[in-house]
Amino acid sequence: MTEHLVPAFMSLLDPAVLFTITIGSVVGIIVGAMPGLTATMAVALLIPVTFGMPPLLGLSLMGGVYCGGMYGGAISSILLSTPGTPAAAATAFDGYPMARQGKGGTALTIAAWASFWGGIISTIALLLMAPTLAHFSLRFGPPEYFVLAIMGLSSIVTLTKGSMIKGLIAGFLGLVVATVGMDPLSGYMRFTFGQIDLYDGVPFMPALIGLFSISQILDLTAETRITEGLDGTSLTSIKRSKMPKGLGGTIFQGGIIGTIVGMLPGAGATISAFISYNFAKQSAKDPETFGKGNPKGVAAAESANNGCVGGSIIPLLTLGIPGNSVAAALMGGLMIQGLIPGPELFTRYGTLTYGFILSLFLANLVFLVLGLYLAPYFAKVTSTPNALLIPGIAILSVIGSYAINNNMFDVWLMIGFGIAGYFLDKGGFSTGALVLGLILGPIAELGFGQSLILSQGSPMIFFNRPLCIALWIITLVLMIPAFTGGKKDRKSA
Amino acid sequence: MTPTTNRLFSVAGMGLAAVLFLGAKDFPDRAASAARYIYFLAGVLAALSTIMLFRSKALAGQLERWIRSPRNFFSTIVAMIGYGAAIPYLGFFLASALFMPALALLLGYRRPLFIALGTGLIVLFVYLVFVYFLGVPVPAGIWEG
Repeated sequence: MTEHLVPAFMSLLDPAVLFTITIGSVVGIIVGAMPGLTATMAVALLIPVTFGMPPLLGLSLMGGVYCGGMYGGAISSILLSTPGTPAAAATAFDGYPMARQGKGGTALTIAAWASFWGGIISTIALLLMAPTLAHFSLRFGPPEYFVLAIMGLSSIVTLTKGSMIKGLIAGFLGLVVATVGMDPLSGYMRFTFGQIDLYDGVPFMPALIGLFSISQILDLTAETRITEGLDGTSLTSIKRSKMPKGLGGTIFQGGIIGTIVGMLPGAGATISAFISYNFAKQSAKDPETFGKGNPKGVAAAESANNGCVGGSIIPLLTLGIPGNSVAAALMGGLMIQGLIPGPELFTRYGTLTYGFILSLFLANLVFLVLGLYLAPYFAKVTSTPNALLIPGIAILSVIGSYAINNNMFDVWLMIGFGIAGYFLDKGGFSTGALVLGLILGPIAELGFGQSLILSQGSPMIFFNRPLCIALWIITLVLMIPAFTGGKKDRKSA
Repeated sequence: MTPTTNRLFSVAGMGLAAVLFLGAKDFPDRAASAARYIYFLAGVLAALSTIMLFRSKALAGQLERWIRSPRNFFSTIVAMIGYGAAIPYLGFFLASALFMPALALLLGYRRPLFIALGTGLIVLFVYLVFVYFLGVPVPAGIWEG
């Protein structure tokens, strides 16, 4: 490895490479911040562009877009409660309340630092432990995926602020909505009512935009500004966006969770952000402040989703198995340059591969600098009158929902989810839990079905494998504080 | 949240569970595992809704106003539905250029310069990012062809 690192580092000093990484990160931030535009879409569109470029330039460009895109999702999530990417959904839980308290700049600063360190941790793992970690990820079979989904679902306990019954109902409602469309095992169409647009299931992004963004703008119609009720001092503090202390542990934990979950094909950044948020809340001394603007909530979610970047590239480079859809698009970029994933990438093409990995460090640095510098300017969005902001967000939500499949049906679905989400939220049902059910439903169902086929119907397959047992233990540990907390509350009452 | 509202949500939950149960009964044999999964979800949903029905009084929290500003709330919903309906006919850009000022005025904003500026910026931004750079074929409506 060391014989490739020095020439790889030297190759990065080429101004053209540095410029490409910067451009990639900027494009990624814009794409990430825009609901409906995904890093996958941007990387896929770049593949033909990179064809004529030297391999390192092309890969650095795509890596920059990936890193920037993962961070960019936090911007709209924090300021407008409109996650630019699904991975930034968990960021909104505490980021948006912070913005409403006039701390939008601080939330963006935390997001930038947490994303940066999450990305750095996962890139270090990619650099030092890629082959070992890739083989570990291969030990995850359908039963482990099912238990991982259950572990993700245990976050419902965390996301529920009031009644646990209502939180669970919301989570199960999400699982129910996720059953719409083709059954992954038999191919049977369920609850589609003959609507072709539902054959692939309820599209996730329009549902997410509706539940988070439209329900929020409907709530904002009663106010003149997002930061209504704040005095001038609080508003000017938007410009002073210092990083709060005591977030190091949360960020480190999120980076590790992101790296591990990112390695698992199909799991992805969204789940890792929810799991990390759950860990952060359950281990906090003040869990009741989560969901009300706790900086640790932002740090946990953002460090985990950026931690997935390096994690998802580990099985891609070593085994040719992309960790998620962006990594799959990146694989297209590798193939088009004639680079076949596997051991040769680290030997014959070592300088190029390590150059690409090192370029991810730089991409993280670029979005950190841009994010910190621009945070106060982005945060000014919160002082825009709602009468202008509401139609603006509505237009972006409409184009964001439409752009995924170029389909007006998705727009109507988004509006429907928005109105339903508004009333569910007012009724005390967590929309976050609903989204979680929607995300994890397909993974849980597929893992459950495939496992039972493997075990010929015996549910013991979920309990007699070492990794499953470890995941069950972690899940139970995460659930304990919620129930002991409830007992404490009753005692104190 | 009143106990009555909680009861209404409970009944809706049980209704949905019943619909799921009846829907899964028609699944063919090849989708037996899918049906089992739906039965499981329907069962849990029904059980949780039943618990909520009987505990609706205990679950009743602080009274929440469903809609704080009815005029603005319904204006926004109607404008959004009208906007969605207009896009296939007027095209995305014309519909957006009409929607933004219309909703801003309905919400009580009376500064034409800022409305025009805001509309122009949003429309230009969407055009540059989605259409010019990413080639998203937005609905053209009457401008098609």
